[in-house]
Amino acid sequence: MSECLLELKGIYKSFGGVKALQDIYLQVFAGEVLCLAGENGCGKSTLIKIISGFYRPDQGSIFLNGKEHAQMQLREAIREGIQIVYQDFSVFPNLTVYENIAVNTMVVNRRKIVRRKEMMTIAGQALEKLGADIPLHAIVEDLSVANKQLVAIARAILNNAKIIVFDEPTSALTGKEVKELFKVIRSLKEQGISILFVSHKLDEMFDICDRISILSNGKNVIDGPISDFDKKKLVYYMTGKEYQEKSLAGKVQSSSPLLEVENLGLEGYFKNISFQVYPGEVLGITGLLGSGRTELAKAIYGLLPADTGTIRIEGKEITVRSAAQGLANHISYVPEDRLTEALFMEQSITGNIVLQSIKKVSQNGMFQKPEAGKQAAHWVEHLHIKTQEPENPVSTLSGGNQQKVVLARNLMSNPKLLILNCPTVGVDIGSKMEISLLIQQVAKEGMAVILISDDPDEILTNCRRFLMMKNGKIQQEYKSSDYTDSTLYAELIR
Amino acid sequence: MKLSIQKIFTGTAWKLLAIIFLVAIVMGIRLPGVFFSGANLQSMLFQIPEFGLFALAMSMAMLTGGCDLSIVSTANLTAIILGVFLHQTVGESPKTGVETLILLGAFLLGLLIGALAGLLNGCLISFAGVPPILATLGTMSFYGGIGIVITKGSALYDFPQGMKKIGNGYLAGTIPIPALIFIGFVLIMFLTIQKSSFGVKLYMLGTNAKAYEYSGLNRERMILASYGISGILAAISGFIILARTNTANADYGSTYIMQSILVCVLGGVNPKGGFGKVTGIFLATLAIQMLSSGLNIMNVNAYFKQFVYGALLIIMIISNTWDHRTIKQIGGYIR
Repeated sequence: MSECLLELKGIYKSFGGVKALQDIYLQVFAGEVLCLAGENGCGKSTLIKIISGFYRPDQGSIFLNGKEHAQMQLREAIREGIQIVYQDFSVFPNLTVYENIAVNTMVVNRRKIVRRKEMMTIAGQALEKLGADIPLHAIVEDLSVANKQLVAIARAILNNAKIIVFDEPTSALTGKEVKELFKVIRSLKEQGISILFVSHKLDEMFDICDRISILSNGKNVIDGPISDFDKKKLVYYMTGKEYQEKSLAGKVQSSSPLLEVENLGLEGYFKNISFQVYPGEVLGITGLLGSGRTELAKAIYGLLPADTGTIRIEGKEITVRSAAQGLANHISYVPEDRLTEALFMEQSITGNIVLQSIKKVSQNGMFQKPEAGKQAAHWVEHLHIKTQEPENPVSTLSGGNQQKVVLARNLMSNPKLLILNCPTVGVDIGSKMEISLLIQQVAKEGMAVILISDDPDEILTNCRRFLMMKNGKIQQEYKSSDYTDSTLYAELIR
Repeated sequence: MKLSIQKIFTGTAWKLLAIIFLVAIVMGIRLPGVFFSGANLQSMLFQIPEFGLFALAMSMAMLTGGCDLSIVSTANLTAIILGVFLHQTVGESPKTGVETLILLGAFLLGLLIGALAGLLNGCLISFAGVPPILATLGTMSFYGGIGIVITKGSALYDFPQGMKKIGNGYLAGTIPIPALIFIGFVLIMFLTIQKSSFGVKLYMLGTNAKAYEYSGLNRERMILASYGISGILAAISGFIILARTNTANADYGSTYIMQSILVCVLGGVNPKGGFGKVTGIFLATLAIQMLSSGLNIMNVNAYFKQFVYGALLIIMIISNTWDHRTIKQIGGYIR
């Protein structure tokens, strides 16, 4: 293999007594795509921050281009050609594309006067290198997620980058955009740039990476060429659990539907939606972003009231003009974006769990803290939420565990209908499997579940039948047994 | 390992206690026999209730992530309307039995006015979607304006003796009555915010209003309730002002607005909402009053007092931010 660009040896890092990284070893060779894999909370992010110079390791050494950097600084890392494309891209939303791309170069060259022409040339060249077609004068805020990412990449390659770290770059992208991104990554690789690809999505790893290095609980587990691994092995090394591939879906328990939706419509979002969900069933609804899937879910819950059609629960017509009414009608909704729509990040795990059912832990309007603690402890144990102390803020949990807190809250309110909107986005594989099992379990206990997802694997694993939405309409009903991940994906983007 | 933010904010209480003791010791040494004299303690107890209630009122709004600039105007408007009410009903020397009844009526009327003023704020914020600072800036002028129209710009005065007794009298000859009223409401607010399910919901709303709504809880109702309570607390302050000064004036005490924000922040209320305790606000009220009285007795220049308040506020904010940062580091990076 070619020369080693970056080598980390015996890296230790701890925060306040908790060991985040222990004796980490990592090599990045020139012109390769190395995947850094592991569940959420395994220390990937900390390791990246050490590579970028944001954190100093407590122990260990970093060799960059053969030179040792004991105390690497942010600026030193950039000078040596390390660039990070963060999950949120760190772009300036209010500036134009070319300003965003060229700003670093201007700063590095200590320019005090803005020369727009020069900036535009620099930006234009960078975008051309990526083969990206984005108008230079567009305001970055208005761009799609994928294009924002391209702007961030263009900025990264400008500063003489040798290693570009992508921190979970696909978490906000659609399938098509992921393909485009991979094209860009391959072309960067051809230009001799090494890529450190941080992810926990199995398919992507096989698609793009040459080599893989797996972390678990802050320690190296294994590394080697990707060809040495298969899905099963990867999951095993990442989670220590066996991978399940067979469909989990259970049987419908009753012939009378729990939820009937008839001719539901909302101007500008969806129309003529009719379907039924039975107790014990997990009905899938799939569709791309903007297909009306989220709006439909919100309409049934009451957050975004529909303007035509009827909704019936157990045969009785209900009016839902607000989420509070939805909840009162035993409908529970797990939103798409848990950070902004579901969680109270700085508040305690207990508070987050009991909030919706606060009456159950109150007497005469007084909050019964011991009772709330008992309830929270029950859910923490039942859903295997990894925490030592339910009084800690939710922000101390990893993504998967945060999602479990949301689920605990929804389940505690004892709904008859549970609507899950993309429940496993940004969740590690271990938690994803647990959440699937949980969905099946609550269905088995008689709940009706609507699972909205654009992840074919998730739909096929959990549902016997599913609906597909396109442009605000339901195309038709499908049987899961007729599809595989790839045929469903093809159908989805067709 | 217990590491909730609530715990750290209890750290605020320790800091405030430290400040209180420090001030007490310094004043005790510098002003022996004066600072801890009965007269000074009583005068402090007369001054605390007004701005203490304003601070509680402000905290109700701040816990939702907003603020209420109209509290002082609400208090003045309440005082003025009650003044007119008292003039119309009793004049200066009614019979005692009737007087008690009328004073009680006035108090309840005050609560009603405060609630209405607060609910209007709440409506503007929740239904019309106006940012709290602008909504209450508007109603601040609006309520003040109504007051001026009623009084035609001058002060109302001469109210029944009973009113003066409430504002300047003592229980058992030692404890000022306004202080008792204040303590009562501190207790009520302590139960409301720190012990009731309403309080839990209030903290949640202040942390993430969108998630609150998505959870199927009624955001509008909660905002109406908290601004309504804010208005009521302001109105009680107005009632005490009327009773103590025996006047009602449309532009009394405008410096209380900033001071109440200062007390809240000092007491550990997070300006972004979602965190803060009544115990903290109460201790901050005591600390500020002790500092202010002490400096007054020492004849310290008013500008220097401003400087001391400012410095204290900045130090507390920095210290709270640092607490927060430690939490974030431990919380955010170690899973």
